Amino acid sequence: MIEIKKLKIKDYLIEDIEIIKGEKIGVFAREAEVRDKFLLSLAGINRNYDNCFFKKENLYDNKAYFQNRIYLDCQEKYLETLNFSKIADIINTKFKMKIDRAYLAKYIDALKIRGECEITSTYKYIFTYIGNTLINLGLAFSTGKNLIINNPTIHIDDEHKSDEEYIYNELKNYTKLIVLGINNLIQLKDLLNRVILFTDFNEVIVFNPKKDNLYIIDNCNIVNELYVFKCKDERLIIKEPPQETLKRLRRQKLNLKRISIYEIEKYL
Amino acid sequence: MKLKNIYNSSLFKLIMVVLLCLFAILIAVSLSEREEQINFVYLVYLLTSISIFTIGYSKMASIVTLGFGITRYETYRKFNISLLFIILYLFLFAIYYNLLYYLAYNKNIFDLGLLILLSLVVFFSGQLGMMLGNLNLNEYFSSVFIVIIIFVSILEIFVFNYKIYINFFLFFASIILIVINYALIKNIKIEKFI
Repeated sequence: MIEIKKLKIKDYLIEDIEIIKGEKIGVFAREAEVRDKFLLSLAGINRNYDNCFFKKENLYDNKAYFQNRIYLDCQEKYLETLNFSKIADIINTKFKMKIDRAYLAKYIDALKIRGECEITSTYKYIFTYIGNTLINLGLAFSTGKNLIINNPTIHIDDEHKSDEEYIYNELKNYTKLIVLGINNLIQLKDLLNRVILFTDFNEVIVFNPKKDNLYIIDNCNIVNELYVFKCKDERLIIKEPPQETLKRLRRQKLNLKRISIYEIEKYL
Repeated sequence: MKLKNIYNSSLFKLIMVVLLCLFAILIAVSLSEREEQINFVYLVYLLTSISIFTIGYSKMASIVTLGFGITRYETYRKFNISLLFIILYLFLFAIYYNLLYYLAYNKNIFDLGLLILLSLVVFFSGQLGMMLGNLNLNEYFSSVFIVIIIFVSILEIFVFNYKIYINFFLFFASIILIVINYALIKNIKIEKFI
C-alpha cells in the first residue's frame, strides 16, 4: 500500500519499508522532531524526493492518497464542540469527509468526555488536555480512514486507566492502517505489528515486537553495530546479537538482560 | 418545493444577502450629506486586501486542512478562483456605487485606473499571503508586509499619481508570485523560517 525508499529525515536514512493494509505501526524516536518529520512525510504533507509512494505514485500532495488517510496530532486542538452532529456537518462542509455520527456519539458517552470540558457563556467548549486527546482520537476513529496519529496517548495517565483501556481496544479493533507517532510505548503494549525505531546512532530499525528482542547491556565497545539507544545509567540497549556473540558477551561477564521493546522508555 | 426548503436553502440566503448589501449601499448614498466624502469603495477594497492576505496565509499554513485530506494544490486552485470572483464582485459593487453616486449628485467619480490598481492590490495581497503561508513565516512578521502594502496603497490613492506604473508593477509581481506559489506547493516542507 505504502512504500518508503531511501527517505532522509535529518541524519537518518530509511532504507526500504513497505506498509500494508490493516497494519498497526509505531514510530519511536528520542527526538520528537524526528518523529514529527517522518509522520509529516508519510502523511504526504512534507515533500519527499520521490521516496514515498502510494500505489506506485509519489504520495506528496497526492489527492487519491489524501482521500484515503487522515493525519492528526493529539496535542493540537481541532474541535470546539461536543455536538457530534455539528462536528460531522463542519467536517463534511470543510473537508468533504464523512463522519460516523452514531459512532462518535457512542464514543463521547462511553468516555464521558463531557466531564473533560468546560462550556463558556458563548457555548464554546474548552477541553482539558486529556479531553482534547480523547475527542481527537474519537474524531479519527469516526472517519473510518487509514490513520496517521501523532502523540496518540498524550496526557492519558494512570489516573485514567479505563480511558486508556477503551482507546487501546478501539485501536486494536480498528481494521484499517494505523501509524502512531508514539509518545508512550508501554501504553501500546502488544498492539503493534511493527515499530520503526530511530536509534541514538542515526540508524533506523524496523522492529517486530513479536519476533525480535532487545537487550540491555553494560557499556562496552564490543558490539558497536548493534547499538540502539544509550540509557540514562550509561548502559546500552542493543539489538539481539547472534548466538555466538551472545555467548561471547556472557563469557566476558557483562550484564546482559533481554527486554521488551515496550519497556525501553524506562531506561532512556 | 416547500416554502420552508426554499427559505433554508443556501442559494436563497446568498441572494438575500446580496440584495440586502445593495439596499444598504443605496441607503448609505441617499443619506449621505457630504458630496466630497471619501469614496468608501476604496476602503472596502483595502479591507478586502487585508482579509484576503490573512485567508491566503492561514489556508496555506494550515496543517489541519492538509491532515484532513485537502491537498495544497486544491487549496491553491480554489483560492485563486475565489480571488478572481471576489475581484469581479468588488468591481461590480464599485460600478453600482458610482452609478448611485452619479444619480444622487450628478457627479462622475468613476476612476477606472484606480479601480484596476485596487483590484491588483487585492490580488497581490492574496498571492503574497499565500506565499508567506507556504513558507510558514511567523504571522507577526508576515503582518508587516500587509501593513506596508496598505500604506503604499493609501499613499497612491490620496498623494501620488503613478497608477499606470504601479499597475504594471503589481500585475507582473502577481504573476511572479503565482509561479512562485505553484513551485512552493510542489516542493514544501513544513518548517518555521522565522
